[in-house]
Amino acid sequence: MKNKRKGQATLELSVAIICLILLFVATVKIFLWLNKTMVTRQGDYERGVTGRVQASNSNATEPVQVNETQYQPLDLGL
Amino acid sequence: MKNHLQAQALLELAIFGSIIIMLIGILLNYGLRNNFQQRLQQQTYRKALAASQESGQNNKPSSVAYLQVEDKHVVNPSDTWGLGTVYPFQAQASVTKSGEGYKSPDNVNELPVLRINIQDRSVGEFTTSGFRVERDVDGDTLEKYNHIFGGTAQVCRDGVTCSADSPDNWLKVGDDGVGKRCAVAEILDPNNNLVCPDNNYIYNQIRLIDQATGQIIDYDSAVSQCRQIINTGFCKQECEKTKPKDVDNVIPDDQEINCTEVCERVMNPPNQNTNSYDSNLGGAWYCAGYSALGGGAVNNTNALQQYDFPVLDRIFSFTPLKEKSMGIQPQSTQWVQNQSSLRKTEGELGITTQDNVNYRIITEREIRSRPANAPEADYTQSQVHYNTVDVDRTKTETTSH
Repeated sequence: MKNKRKGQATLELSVAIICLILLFVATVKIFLWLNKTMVTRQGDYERGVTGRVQASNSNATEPVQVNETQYQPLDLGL
Repeated sequence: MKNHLQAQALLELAIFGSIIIMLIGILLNYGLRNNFQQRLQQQTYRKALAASQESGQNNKPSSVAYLQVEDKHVVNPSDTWGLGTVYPFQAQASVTKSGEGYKSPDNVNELPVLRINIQDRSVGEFTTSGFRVERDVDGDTLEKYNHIFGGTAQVCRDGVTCSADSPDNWLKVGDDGVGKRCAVAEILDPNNNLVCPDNNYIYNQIRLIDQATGQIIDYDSAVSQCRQIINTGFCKQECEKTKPKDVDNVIPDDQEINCTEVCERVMNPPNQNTNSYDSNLGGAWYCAGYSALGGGAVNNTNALQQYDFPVLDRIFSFTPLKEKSMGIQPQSTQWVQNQSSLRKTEGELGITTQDNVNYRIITEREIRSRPANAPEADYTQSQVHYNTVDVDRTKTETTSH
C-alpha cells in the first residue's frame, strides 16, 4: 500500500515536471524567436534592398521600410 | 498520507507552474517591448530620412522632425485570455541633408516643422521656429542678434515695409539695396561722396528666425535666449562656449568675436536696461516683465542670476510639471473596458459553450501648441486625441454526452 501511494506521487510529480519542462522550453523558444526577429530586422535595416545605403539614395518621398512579411513565424516545435 | 502526497504534488505543480508562467510573462514583455521599440525607432528614422529629400525645395520645410507614438498590447500569460497592458511606444527622429544646413527658410512654409503621428496616422504638423521682425537695429547690435539667433538675421529691402512672411523683400545684411540709414551725420569722402562714418548704420527692419515663436516651443531654450538677451554675464558665458575656437590662430583678430563687446550691446527691449516690451520696435516679447527669481534686485551682469519670465510662464501655465514641454503631453489617461459574454447551447450532441471577451483600451492624449499665424500669442491651444486598442478573444468548447 505504501509503495502504491509512493508510485502515485512519483507519477504526479513526473507529469508536473514534464509540464514545467515544456513550459520552460516554450518560454526559451519564444524569447529566442523575439531576439532573432530583432537581429534580422536590424540586419535588413542596415543591409540589402531595405538597407541604409538604398534608403539614403532613394529620392522617393515614401520611406524605405524594412519588409517583415517574410519573417519566420513563431514555431514552438512541441 | 495519500492525501498528503497528492497535495504535495499539486502544490509543486502550482508553485513551479506559476513561477514558469511568470517567467514567460517577463520574457514576453521584455522581448515584445524591445521589438516594438526597435521597429518604431527604425520606421521613424526612415520617415525623417524620406522627408529630408524635400528640404531645400521651395515652399517645403527646411527641416522635418518626426514624433511617432504607438500603443501596443503586450500580452500577459498569467491572464486566462492573455490580456495584458497597452504600452505607449514613442520615437523621434530628425534628418538634415548635408549641404542643406546653410539654407535658411524664406517663408512660413519653409520653417522647420515637427510632424506628430499616432498609430501611424498624422495628427498634426507644427512649426518649431517662427519669424520675428524688429525695427531700428544698429549694425553693431546685429552681431548680438546673430550670436543669439544663430546668424539668421535678414534685412528688409530699402523703400518697402516688409512683413514677417513676405519672402521677396528680405535680403542678406551685406546685399545692395537693404533698408538702412546712417546713425550719425554723413560726411564727405575725398571723392566728395557722402559716406557714413565707421559704417555706423541703423537697419530699418530685420527678420530673425526665433525658436521661441514657433507653434511648438521649448521652454528651456526660450529661457536661455531670454537670459542671453538680458544678462550680459550669461550671454558672454554662452558666447565663449559657441564661438569658433581659433587654436591655429587663422582667424584675423579683427574678425574674431569679442564676446564681452558683443554681449554689452543693448538689443531692442526687453533688454538689460528695461524689462518692458515696445511693440513699435518689436523685441523679444516673451522675455517681457522679467524679474529676479524669488524677488529682490536684478543683477543683469551676474551669469548665475535666475529670472521669472511671466510671459513664458503664462504660455506654459497649462502644465503643472517642472519639465515644461509642448507637443504631446507626458501625462495621458487610459480607460479600460472589459466586456465578456458566455453562450451555452445544449443539444443532442452535447453542450457547446462560447466565451467572448472584448478588451478595449482608450488612451487620451493632449497635444499643446501655440496657434499658427499668431506670432505673439502668449497662450496655447489644446488638441485632444483618442486612440483605441481593441483585443478580441473567442473560445468555443463542446462537451459530448
